[in-house]
Amino acid sequence: MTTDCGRFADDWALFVLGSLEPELCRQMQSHLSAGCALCEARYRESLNDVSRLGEAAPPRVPAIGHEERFAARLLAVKPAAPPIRRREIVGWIAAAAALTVAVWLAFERRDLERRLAQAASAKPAERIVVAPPQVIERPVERVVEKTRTIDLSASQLAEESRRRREAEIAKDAASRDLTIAQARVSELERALEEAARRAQTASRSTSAASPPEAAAPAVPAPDPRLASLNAELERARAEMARQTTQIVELRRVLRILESNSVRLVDLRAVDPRAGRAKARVLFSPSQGLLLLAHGLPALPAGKCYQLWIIRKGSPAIASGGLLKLDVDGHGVVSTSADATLANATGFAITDEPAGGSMAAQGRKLLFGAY
Amino acid sequence: MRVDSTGLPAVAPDRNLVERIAAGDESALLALYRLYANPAYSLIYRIVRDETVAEEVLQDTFFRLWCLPHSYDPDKGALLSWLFTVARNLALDRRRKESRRPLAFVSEFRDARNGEFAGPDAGLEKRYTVIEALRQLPKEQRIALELAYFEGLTHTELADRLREPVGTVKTRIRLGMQKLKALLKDCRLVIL
Repeated sequence: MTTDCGRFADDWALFVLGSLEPELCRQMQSHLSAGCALCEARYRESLNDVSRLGEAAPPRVPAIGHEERFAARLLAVKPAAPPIRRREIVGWIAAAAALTVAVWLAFERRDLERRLAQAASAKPAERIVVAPPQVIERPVERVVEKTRTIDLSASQLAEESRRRREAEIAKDAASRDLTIAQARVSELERALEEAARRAQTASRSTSAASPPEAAAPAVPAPDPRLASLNAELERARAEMARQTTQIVELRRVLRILESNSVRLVDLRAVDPRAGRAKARVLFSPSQGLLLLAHGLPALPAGKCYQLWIIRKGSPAIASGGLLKLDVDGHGVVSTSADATLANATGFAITDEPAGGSMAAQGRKLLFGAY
Repeated sequence: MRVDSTGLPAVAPDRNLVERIAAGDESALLALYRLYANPAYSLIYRIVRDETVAEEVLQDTFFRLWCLPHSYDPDKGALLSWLFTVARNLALDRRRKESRRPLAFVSEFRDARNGEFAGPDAGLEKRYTVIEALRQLPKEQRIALELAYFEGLTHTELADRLREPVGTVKTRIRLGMQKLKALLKDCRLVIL
């Protein structure tokens, strides 16, 4: 223990809060770096104490779909590689530059050969043919839109049967789209591999055949065809990821509809402000919940609609999620299985501050009991 | 999911999840996200006061663990503490880059426990304990602590804001932290 240990003893919480003067912070930091075990322990303890203040933040939940957005970003970021050292980055850049030059050289060589061949005979040189991009049709979106516009006046059995058929059609269409996207990605990957292979071969033969003084051409610009192929590949991959997400969502809805324990609850307006709005909840305690609403009036800025699950047990009422509302007043909520659905006896929709509430504070607009 | 007596997730699975994250297991990161997204988001939102920005910072917080899994050492503290520290730093950085938002205090938060509705947050009861502990501090200490933690103000800025000498501000924070620690440790809280 040094004199510094005593001097800093009361200040570790302030240090963790980051509110100390910079000079004192530096002194404490260097003291820690010197390896003082006592102060390290005090610092750790203060870190835990101060971080408990974070628990005092008023509870809030992220906007609906945040998990899916996080998962999508995670898939885009993969793999979780260890930190790349500067030397490795330089190596990769050098390799990429070498590959680009090699590809350019290959194309130049082919061009030269073609001209020589044309000069020697009338036979045309071989060319790389890149297939035009296919237009991927997405009937899934149209079918999903149909499922949102429900007619609550039709008989329940017929409605459910129609919805099941549409969900199956949507699933098939989405699978088809995915197959097309996968085929396109494979095709583009093959084209890229072929281009890289040719570039490598051409690079080897060029360096072997050319005299040393002739092997120093000016560094060319990257070939635009390679960049175009790469861009198209990225677009196809993004499309595939989008289709995959859509299929996962549709399968979840299908599982709810196919579940033996599926239950149906109609929600009616209980407040004049709800207008002619109606909603229907299909839920299965083991598979999740699907809510379809229409005719909901537009809310002022800073407000949103929130679904509440009314339960037999504790908590008596729990949040079921926020409604995503389109311009026609159609709202959809789809959630996976949750313990709160086990003893659900009814559902309600309220208007809440944007982002939702932990506890319902707004007006109860629609209500339905099971 | 296992929870401890306070309703927060048990600590033991954290170590296992972090080991899997270090090995590149995406499902482990997603599981951890489901476990701690709500408390971390609450803290971030409290600082940045914007839903879109708060969600971005929330994702950045968990990606910090994904990209640098060894920056968290389970032997040196709870994972939630580490997440709160990272989340707070990122949120304060983000907030400093953007315009200052109006101040708000935890005391403005309406107690919903006695209401008809209850939210789905598993660790809510434990968080109420901290909120109640803060409420039991003398007002001057509580305000100084909240401004330092949630607003990221330095002593000089705090002294300007509160129109008090720097020494007084430091003493308030120091005493506030000591008292808060004692309240949480002894569980002598009176939940109102």
